[in-house]
Amino acid sequence: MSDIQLTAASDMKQKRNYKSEILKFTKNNFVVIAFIALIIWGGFASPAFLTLSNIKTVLLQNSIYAICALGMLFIVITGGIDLSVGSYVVVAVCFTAGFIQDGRGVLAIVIVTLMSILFGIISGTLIAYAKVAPFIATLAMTTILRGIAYIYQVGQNRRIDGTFWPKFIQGSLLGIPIPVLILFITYLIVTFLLKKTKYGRGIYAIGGNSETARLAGINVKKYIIITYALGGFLFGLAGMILAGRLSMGTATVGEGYELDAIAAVVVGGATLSGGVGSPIKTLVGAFLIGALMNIMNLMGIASYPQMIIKGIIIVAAVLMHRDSSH
Amino acid sequence: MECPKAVVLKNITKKFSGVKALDDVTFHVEQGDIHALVGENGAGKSTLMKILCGSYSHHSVEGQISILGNEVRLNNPKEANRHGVVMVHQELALIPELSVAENMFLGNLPFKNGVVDWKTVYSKSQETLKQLALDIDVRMKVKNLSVGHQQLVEISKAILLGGKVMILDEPTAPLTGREIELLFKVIRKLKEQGITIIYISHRLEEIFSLTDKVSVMRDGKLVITKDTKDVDEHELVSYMIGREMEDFYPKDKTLPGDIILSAQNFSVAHPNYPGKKIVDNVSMNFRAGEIVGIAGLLGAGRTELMTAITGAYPKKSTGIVTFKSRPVKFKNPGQAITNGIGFVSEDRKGNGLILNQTIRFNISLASLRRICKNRLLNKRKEDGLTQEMIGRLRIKTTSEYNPVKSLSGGNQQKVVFAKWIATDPEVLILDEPTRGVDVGAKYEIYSIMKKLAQQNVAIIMISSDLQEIIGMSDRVYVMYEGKLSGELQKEELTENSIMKYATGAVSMAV
Repeated sequence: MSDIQLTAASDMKQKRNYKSEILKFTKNNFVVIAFIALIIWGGFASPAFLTLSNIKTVLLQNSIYAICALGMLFIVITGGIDLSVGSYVVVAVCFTAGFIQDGRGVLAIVIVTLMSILFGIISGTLIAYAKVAPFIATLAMTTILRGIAYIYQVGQNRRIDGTFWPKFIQGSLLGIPIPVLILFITYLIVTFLLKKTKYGRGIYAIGGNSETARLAGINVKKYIIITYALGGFLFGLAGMILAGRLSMGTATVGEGYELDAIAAVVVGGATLSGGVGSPIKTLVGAFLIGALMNIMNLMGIASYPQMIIKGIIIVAAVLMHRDSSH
Repeated sequence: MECPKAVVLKNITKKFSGVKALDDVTFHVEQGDIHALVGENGAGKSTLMKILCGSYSHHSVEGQISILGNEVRLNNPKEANRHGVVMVHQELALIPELSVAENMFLGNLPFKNGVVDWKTVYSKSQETLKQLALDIDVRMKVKNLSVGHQQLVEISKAILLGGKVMILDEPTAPLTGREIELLFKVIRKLKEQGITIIYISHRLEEIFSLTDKVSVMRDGKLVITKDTKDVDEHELVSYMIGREMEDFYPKDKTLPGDIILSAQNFSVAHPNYPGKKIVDNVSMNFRAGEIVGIAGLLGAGRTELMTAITGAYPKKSTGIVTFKSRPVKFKNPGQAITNGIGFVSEDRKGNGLILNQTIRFNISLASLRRICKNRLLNKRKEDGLTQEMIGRLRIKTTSEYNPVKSLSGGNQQKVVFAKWIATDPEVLILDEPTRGVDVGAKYEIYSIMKKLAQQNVAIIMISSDLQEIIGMSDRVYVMYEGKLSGELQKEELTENSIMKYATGAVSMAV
């Protein structure tokens, strides 16, 4: 008899285990599930949503945001934050167009890339060595970079229509728009860096407990600087793509990019205290917000209510991710 | 005339989650006495004093408390203050940016017509300081005072609060010689004014020069109360330790080899008090295959010595460290690890583990160099390393991918050990290796240490657990006040001999 009881008890236990496993899985992959649900709902809500051209539009529109989000992901994993994303974008847009107009050709792209990395190194050095809080250091960079962009971009917008760069960015390969392709390659590299390299392992450790990481021999300062440099590079890349899409340099873009990037990372399950974050979920987070905006546009919802809904989605996602055991 | 006792604690028992921290303690203090309370770390002194100053609600404490003849039930420190009991804490609780007077009146500022009555604040605080013959400007900001003076301000604040019974918890720990003299002068003045002092200290010499009575605590019990003049150091130390050694330690033999690490005339500057040294002219040798214990009381400079040698917390240091007969100076933990020196820190949760990560992640964390090829993680190597470590240290888990926070304290500590053993060290430094670990895991950790020593690893073990030091060490260095106060061979090890050096009762002729 006791045997039967035991089996029954272990059955119960197993059932409970399955239940908690399912619950855990749902929690861990909430963004993905929510994203799929949104796509299905979008299909019903607007017949235009799941058409090829609309999907292409959503992908194209959100590639730039998603690249910024991936850059932000590195930084958030270390427990940091970068508020100057929009300013990087503005600087990159202005200088890319400016240098191309000055006839520097491909060199323009190289220079802007190096500039973005340099700005990242400056932020990272301030944070790692001068011990300035990331919030403050990057806030200062925000106004510095925007100031540089305004000084450089006097007067009129610089048109670069017909040059090699807009042609390249506005083109496509195998039917895939170039910016989407760049995003895809970026995603692969980011995933590789985070999952397969010593550097990636190191920044997860730093975000988890930087003191433990340091005592385990990880060069925390160096890794922090690399992280902000990588972030800077990706934010700059986003700006260069934007310049190509706009075919001009203008200092009026880039507003609020940092907030969208942070939102995507957080909706993707990362925590701002660091140590957690996944590239695929960040990507889904970025496109979740993008697709939602697109659906609401198609449904004819005005832009101000859209802002409210976006805010609610961010809070809901964060609450869903929260570890219930705490 | 019969005058009531200053403090009577009767049959006090206090449990923390079922474990008795205090067991039926009865403790009397006469009015106007300076009464010393001594005992090893964890003997229950602080818990007893916290009960007296109301840190625990009376519901959680069994027994009776009377202060100056009145039976009281205390719920919070403020009530204790009202009855005249004031605690002067080890960590100073003054606010650096406020003036001396403001600090003394903190939380009790007098008001007149709805605004602060600054005249009274300044005059009364000045007056109190004068009572103690102290020459301190009450308008000065506290941050400009020396630590010694800050402590005296804290004591003055206690008098201003109407303190009749004052508890001083290791007041001399951060002080230099002259500051200690001044403090003693003030304490004697307090006694003249009829204030009762309970004086907690590890330093035996202070107890003999200052106090009237002494009580010894051990394992949550009050062992004895005597007139200080009727005991000697030897007797006091034996009261503090006096328990049998359990036969608990693996008997495996170790065979010490050549000197692998040594420090000569090594000193480390104190981080907070300029001019003071936290490690003072220490010379030690460590041999391959030997387990060396480093004994001493809290704050003796043991951890600071080791963290300075390994570069874990590089501070201003002088002296020479040689590793394998080469002079070395490690600037960061990475350099020490590459050279083959591991450091298991004392604070498992604070800086030993990354709690939100997996067991595997934590085990390989200090050996990333070993599992990487061209800076790329090699999954096969990492698998091998984690499997080997989980097996060798018998870490109980269903999967190496479980979060490390799901493990018990003992198994978490084994993961920390695994992390360091994975680096393949030649010297392994352990800081309080079995703190917060249950008995079973303790034994396993001791066996691991012995095995490592047999594999010719030099083990350096900092421990405050005397039994552990005696049971495990081939040789022991004892530190006191930043200095090396004694070196004991295995056959000389007794709790008595160690405590003598650790409390400064005797010191090695250098």
